[in-house]
Amino acid sequence: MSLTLPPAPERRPRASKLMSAREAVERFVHDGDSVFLGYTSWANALEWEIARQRKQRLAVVATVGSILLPLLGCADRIITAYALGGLSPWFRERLAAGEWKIEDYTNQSIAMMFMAGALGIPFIPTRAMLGSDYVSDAFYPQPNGFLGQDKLRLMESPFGGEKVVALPALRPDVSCVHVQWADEEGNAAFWGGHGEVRWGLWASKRIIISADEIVPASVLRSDPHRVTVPGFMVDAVVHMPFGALPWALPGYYGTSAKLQVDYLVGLRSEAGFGEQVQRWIDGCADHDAFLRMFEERYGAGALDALRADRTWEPERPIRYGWRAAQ
Amino acid sequence: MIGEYSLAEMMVVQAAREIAGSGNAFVGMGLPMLATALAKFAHDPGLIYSTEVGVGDWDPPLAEVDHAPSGIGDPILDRCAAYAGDMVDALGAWLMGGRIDVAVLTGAEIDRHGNLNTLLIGDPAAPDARFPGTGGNTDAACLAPRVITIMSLEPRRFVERVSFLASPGYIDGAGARRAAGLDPQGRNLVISTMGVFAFDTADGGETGTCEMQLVKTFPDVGADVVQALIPWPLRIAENIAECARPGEEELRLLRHLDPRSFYLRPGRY
Repeated sequence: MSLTLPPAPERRPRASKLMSAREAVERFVHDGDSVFLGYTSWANALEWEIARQRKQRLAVVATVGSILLPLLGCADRIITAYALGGLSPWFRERLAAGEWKIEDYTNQSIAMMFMAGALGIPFIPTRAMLGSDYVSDAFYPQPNGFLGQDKLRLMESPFGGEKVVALPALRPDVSCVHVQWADEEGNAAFWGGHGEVRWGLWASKRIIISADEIVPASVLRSDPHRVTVPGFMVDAVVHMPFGALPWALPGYYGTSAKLQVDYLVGLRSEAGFGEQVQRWIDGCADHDAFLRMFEERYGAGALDALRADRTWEPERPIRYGWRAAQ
Repeated sequence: MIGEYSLAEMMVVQAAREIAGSGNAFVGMGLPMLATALAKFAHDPGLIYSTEVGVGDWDPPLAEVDHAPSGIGDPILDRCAAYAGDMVDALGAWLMGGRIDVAVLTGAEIDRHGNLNTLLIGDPAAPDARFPGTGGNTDAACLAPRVITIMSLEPRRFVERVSFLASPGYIDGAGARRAAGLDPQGRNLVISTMGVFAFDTADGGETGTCEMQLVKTFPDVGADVVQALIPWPLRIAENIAECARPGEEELRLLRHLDPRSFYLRPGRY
């Protein structure tokens, strides 16, 4: 007899990890931590909560690294391939003054260092950066850096003698990533270009997920191939609609050009920065207050106006199943 | 503006012509995203358009495309993609694993040997200028079998030697790529706002001077104008070709793909 199984039954969920952003950051982000914030699934709202709590001595780790936390005095180290807002003269002045240290890598090398961290191996070889100044005497060890010769090593393959760059495994203390769907157990689904998100998450010792929607536990259990990180690896889940703003969330909303202009241009000067931090971060008790401030400043309906209006669904849902025991 | 188009538009139009037919393209951030989209929609529907976040073979119908991808995180890249994965897939398996035919890149500086700078200018310990960083540019320059660079021809961008060699071209000449542990690379091109450059090497940097060489000029731009903007004695090919002016359809498509001058606003490219 052929049987189409009903929608996955409502399960008795495991202990709920759903909590407020304030609680999640208080419990799982500690002073001195290395923090991974993924770019294509940027947890901007969680980053701003870290800023609100003024965590100290953090290291920001990502292919695309935000300079908010360093500028605010929350982070003193950056590992990145692209410092977002890095054209800010104010950022460069303070970098030159030694207020924080930076280690520049490439997108591939950071993704692979996360991969090594996730796999529990001590290092991983790559052929990227060979022939560049990243491995030259002028830049190794990196001036303004903090890893010294532990940043990377040139070596020869023990098998064929080919030159490779050995990269150390990177295990962030905590990662914050924003996704479309999560359930209370922490199972999280992100769809869109993944960048280094999966490996960054999988390498992290602690994980905070923010999600535009909290879905019933049965939803992701019915479609496990959709899941980016399973709940058993996750520590906290936070419900944050529009939690990626000013960035886009595929299928949900586009970037907010207005907030990008205000916020990113604001990073360019000390005065502008102070104004932006006061308005969006310190002036808002939490993410809900930020959303109200967004509409207060950009007009009623400004959030709705960002919603994705070129959308589609998979043309054909997939089917899972097995052959009954004979 | 010259006539009905700007030199920046001519640069992107010519870049699209050069990218067309190159197979499996790795598309870097910035102007490459616009130029490769134009190559695909104007000339070469079969061109494979992949980016570093892990989107493989973006292939939407033109009728749906209201803008070229504005960055590697633009959700439009999911539309009709053959694959959506991550950076290890794209920069690891595709690029380092040998599945890419050409990387299309840009940068802040380029030098005589085609090296790119995306990071800083001046003393690394106390730089005069610092850019956001290299992203996947270095990975692509090291690992792609061929590179097409798109860059506005300005004296601050075309320099004899990059102050920071972020992304290797031919490094300091013949044999340098191999000595560094990299594979040969070519035929590399640079498409600027004044003309097209190739490099003086027939075998991907094993022999020859490996220097940038002017091979095509744009309409109304003489080789002397190009030389005047370049701070080293430029090699000029014996038979310089002149590129055709942008056709009406090329310009219409280009402006359709960049409707708000996100890419071609003066000062941006």
